[in-house]
Amino acid sequence: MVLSMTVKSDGSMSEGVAVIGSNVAAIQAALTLAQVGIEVKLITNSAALGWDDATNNVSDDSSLDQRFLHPLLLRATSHPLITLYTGAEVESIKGEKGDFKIQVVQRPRYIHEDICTGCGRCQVECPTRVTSLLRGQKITHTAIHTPLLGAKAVPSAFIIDKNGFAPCQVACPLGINVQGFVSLLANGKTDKALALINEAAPLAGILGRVCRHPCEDNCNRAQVGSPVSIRALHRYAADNALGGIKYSRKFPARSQEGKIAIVGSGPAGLTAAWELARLGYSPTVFESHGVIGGMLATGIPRFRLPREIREREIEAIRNLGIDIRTGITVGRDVTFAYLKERGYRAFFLSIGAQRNNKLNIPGEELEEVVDCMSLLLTLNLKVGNKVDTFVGSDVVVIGGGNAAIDAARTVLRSGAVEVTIFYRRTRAEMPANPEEVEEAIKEGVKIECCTMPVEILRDGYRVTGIRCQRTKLSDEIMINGQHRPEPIPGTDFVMDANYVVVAIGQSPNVPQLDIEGLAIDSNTGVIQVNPLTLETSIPGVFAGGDCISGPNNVVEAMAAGLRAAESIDRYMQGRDLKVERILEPPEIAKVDIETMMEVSPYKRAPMPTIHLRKRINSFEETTTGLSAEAARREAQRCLNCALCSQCMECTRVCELGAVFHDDDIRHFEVGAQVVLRFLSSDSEKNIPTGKADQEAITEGVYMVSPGDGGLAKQLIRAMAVAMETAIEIKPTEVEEARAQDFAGLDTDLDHPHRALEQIAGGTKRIGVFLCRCGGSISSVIDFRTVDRKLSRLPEVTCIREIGQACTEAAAKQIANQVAELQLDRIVVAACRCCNSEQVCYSCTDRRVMCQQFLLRRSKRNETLDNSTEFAPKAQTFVEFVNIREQCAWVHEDDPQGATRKAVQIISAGIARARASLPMPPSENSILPSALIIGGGLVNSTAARALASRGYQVELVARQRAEQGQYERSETSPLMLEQLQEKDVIVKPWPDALKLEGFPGNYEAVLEYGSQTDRIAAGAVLVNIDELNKGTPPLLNTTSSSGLLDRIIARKGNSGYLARVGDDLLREITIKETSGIFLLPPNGAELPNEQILHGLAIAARVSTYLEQGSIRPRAMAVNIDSRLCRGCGNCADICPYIEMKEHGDGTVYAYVDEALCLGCGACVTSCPTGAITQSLQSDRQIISTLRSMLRSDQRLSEV
Amino acid sequence: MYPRVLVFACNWGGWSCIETATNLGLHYPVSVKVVKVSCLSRVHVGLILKAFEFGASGVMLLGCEQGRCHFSADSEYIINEYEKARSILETLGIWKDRLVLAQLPAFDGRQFVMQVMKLIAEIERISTSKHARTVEPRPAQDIKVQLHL
Repeated sequence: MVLSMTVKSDGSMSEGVAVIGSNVAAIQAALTLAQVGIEVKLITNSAALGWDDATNNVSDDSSLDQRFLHPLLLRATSHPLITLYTGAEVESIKGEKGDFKIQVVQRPRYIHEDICTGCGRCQVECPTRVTSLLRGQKITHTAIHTPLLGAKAVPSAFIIDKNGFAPCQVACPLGINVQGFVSLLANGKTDKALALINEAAPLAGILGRVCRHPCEDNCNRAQVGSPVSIRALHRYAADNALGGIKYSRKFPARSQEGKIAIVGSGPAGLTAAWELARLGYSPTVFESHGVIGGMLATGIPRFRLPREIREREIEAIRNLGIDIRTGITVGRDVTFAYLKERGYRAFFLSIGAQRNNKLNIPGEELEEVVDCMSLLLTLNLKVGNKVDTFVGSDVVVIGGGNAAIDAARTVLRSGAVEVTIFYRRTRAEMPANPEEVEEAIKEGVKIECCTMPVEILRDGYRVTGIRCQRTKLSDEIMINGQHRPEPIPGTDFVMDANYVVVAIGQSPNVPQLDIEGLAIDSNTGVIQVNPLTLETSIPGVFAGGDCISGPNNVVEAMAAGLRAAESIDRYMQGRDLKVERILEPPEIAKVDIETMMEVSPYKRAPMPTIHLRKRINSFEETTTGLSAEAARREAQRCLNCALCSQCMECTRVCELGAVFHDDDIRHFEVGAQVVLRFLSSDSEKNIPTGKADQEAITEGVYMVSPGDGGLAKQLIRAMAVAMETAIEIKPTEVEEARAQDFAGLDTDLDHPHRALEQIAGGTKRIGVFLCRCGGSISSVIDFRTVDRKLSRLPEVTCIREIGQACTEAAAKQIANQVAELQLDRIVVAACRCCNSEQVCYSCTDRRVMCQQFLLRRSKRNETLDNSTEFAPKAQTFVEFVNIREQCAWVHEDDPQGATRKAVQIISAGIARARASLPMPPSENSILPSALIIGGGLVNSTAARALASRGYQVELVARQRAEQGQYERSETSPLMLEQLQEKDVIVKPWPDALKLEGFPGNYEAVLEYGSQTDRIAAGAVLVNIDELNKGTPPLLNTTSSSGLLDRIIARKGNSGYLARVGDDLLREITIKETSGIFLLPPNGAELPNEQILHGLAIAARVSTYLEQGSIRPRAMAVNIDSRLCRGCGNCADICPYIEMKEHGDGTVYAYVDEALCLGCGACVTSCPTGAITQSLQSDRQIISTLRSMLRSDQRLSEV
Repeated sequence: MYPRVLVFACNWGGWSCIETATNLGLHYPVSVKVVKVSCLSRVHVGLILKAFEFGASGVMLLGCEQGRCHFSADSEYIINEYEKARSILETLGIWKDRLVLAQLPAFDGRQFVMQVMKLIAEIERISTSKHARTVEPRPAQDIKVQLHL
């Protein structure tokens, strides 16, 4: 029934009803509205609908509820008129009744709902554990998880919990996914951890030893103990990845116009080269020293960064195809101009800061006043050659940075007896790494703070000592943000020394480059650059590292290298250097430590070091790295602040591409004529009962409170609300086109075997389709074996693999195969188990989608895609077999056994497909009219509601002529008036009533004395109490011949709500076909309750009549009267079966197939075998048994 | 190698138990095969015996509890067939307890797995016990049975 839409005069039109809520009432209301032809937008705050949210406030009969749950959810969410928005909150509702505009904000799921099959392979790979509250309990689960944490849900697609960026990742200048690699290490996935690190930056072995770890300084774990030892874990990954370093390219090698020159092979230069190589370029690095690495080779001592590690890292970078030329000093050996002539277009200056700053105090020019740079260079690179210079001497080191500490410890290892560091500020302000300072002190270095040198004392040409002064910090703040130290007069003292090492900072030797026009800072001597692009004053010339910042840490230099590489990439392609680049780091996730239960009790793992005795006279590496056990435990201390760490393991493992981390919050608008808001808790004040429990806040926006009572009552209220709404608005015009959108098979959902009558004997052509389910089935069941075994079976024409059966693409693929190979029967081995239209208790959304795409009823009888050369299409028989839950998943632990069983299950399906019998088509149209037997408030409400929907309604009721108290069952004059307003025909109570006809086309025969009145109706609503009243009762339910008697008997004699519960369950799962509805008794219910019941019945009747026609169920039985010997066993079992008489007086059993529920009990009871089921004959069941149990696969016989 | 068990499961309550078993992550041996029927009342003695004939070492009838049937069928129907089948098995010399009837609440995956494992244990006990009458059902060779269709 399609009624046209009234369009508002101004042209703007919102269609349908918006239903907001997640409980069972909301879903039932949405379903009812859709079933009567109204478009519904179902907006729910939950990520998915399921046990928790959908069944608030329901009865204690929990088993009944669960049986309803999934069929109801699936009918609703798969209905073409319902659009479901999950994770969606309503921000505002604007407009007026008839034209509301609802602003919705939808949370990101990060997973495509229509693709994800819920197979869970991503969950297995996810290394991150997070904690959530579930029903009052704290549950630990992976960051990617089922939407309701274990309970079945619709949609079943997974969801990822994210919380922005972790502070460690934000603090890292290189943007390394710290939480990601730490989680991977916590799960023992070392190689993957290193791979993740290397996606952002190279030189892991180096960073893991010398990085200043801003990540640790920002680690939230410090709030509950000590920060995670991230640098040690970084080193662990670098040193223990079994596969070694594998750098991956971002782009293949590209041909480029012009070359790129990188000056200096320190961390900045190497990183820039690495990134450029990954982007497809081939840069050339010019290094003035004989060794590669800059400070990594010449500055950082070997006991902090061993040579083997440095060489390993550099080798890995060179293997990307980067050309590093040592021994060439740009500016001296080759000029800038020369390089430009030779075709170099872009330059990155990463020359570092190697010119030692001077103390500018007397005595500095003496030979034994050494600059720390040359000291470290000499002592670092002299492998094997012992340098005796410092043996036995007292050394004083001036400075407080890493260079000073390194120099002190190096000198100590070279034989110095006394090493003292003088630093002019306080200990807290020493720029050196605290860990290094501690180790230095442990090794015996003395540190004197607040001391500055004044003069170096001499004896001739030899240094004898140094005179210093104490300082105090003044209030003046210097350029670098620190307080200026002020010498305190009168605090002079002298310290004896043989050598003085000057380590007070370095500056870059820019003039040596000899580049004209290069802007330099006059105070510090560093190159001036744009902080966003790192471009110098000369276009195409970029700079980074110590030469732009002064001495700094390795990580900053590397970060500059990355930034410069991006700039050079853009420059080479002629793109803008600045657009879409920011300096500001992303926002840090907010973390509430209190809510995190899963805090590992372990303390921060100490970094093992070699014994002090072994350190002296040796340049062996001081720290030895965490053990595997210690590393794992340390990694598990991480709190996972960002929840999902974006390590991308899920993306890698999902074959279907269902994961997309780029999802974001969505804002959109939804239009509706009316808004129904279903509240899930009683926290709202008790809403006074208005019409049918709705309260209008604004005209057109209704709040529906949860109310009390069991599930049946909830559903009845919901249906009543929906019905009332449906009456208020006109239904949506259903476009014919919508039903034709699917390119599926031309098959009838209810009766797949209708097709068979068209197949005129001959060989059958069976196609078998195996679903991989994105790998979750195919990783257990070996499809090659299955293919081999099944192809031996007769009449199997083809066996094909499909990636995912529950998509439109798969349906098209299958339809094309059917057309191409002229298949008449197909077996789809996936997750779906039934080939009929029913929805079982345990069905899932993917199964429903598989059926919908594949078997969409097509209104056209044309040939399918690409098949014009074949004969007009006969319909195709489809058999489904479940090899997912029944086989691959439950027998995961036994893949070989699962494969064998899969062969058996699928061959059983093939046998059933071959053995199916045709059933003659029958379709009855349903008269668009209803007959209501009995008066009273419930019935008249139902009558008026149905009449408003456009159906013809006749009501048979007792009327009392006189005034006075009315029986509940009687129709008062007021009611009569209301009924007549709606064109309901009211007939008086007859003397006798008989119901004839068949579903869809009933005829009630009413006797009034000698007169007979006949009423035709599509649906009949009966009040049993009414029929039993009076003497003799109108309907004699003890004698069994009448149709009405038998149907009512079937419905049982238990309480109304229990009965209606069963009816509703059947209506949702296998659909109503009888067209006879029981009205509640006129008991002691409040008028409001009665109205609810009336509306609910009207909703159910409306849904029934809306179908337009009914067909028998797929499992309906067929009674062959020729074989029947009239024993009556079946009629004893099933009230729908009646005994009829032949002409010669013999009886036979008969059932109207539209009534048959399809259980098959009568088949068992029949002694002659007269009763059969086309889709479940004994022959088919036996073929199935044979395939399942016998090891040989002979199917040619039964 | 576990003994072969054939489970007749009704589409509604019975199937929900089996599905739930998978959803809970439980496992049972691959030698357990499940045949779905619309209602247990559809299963008559002939089908049960056929299962044994084809080589099942045990048969389980898995369905809904009394009063819970989706079609409101009486458990009496299946109980009758079950008892008839058991007495025929006894006459044929097959240990009666190879056939069990499990009427479980819907979604009770755990109970289903327990019952199936119990049946398997019983079958193994019978097969090895010297005292029990241990006639194994032999797969029939090409016995042509006339079936009414």
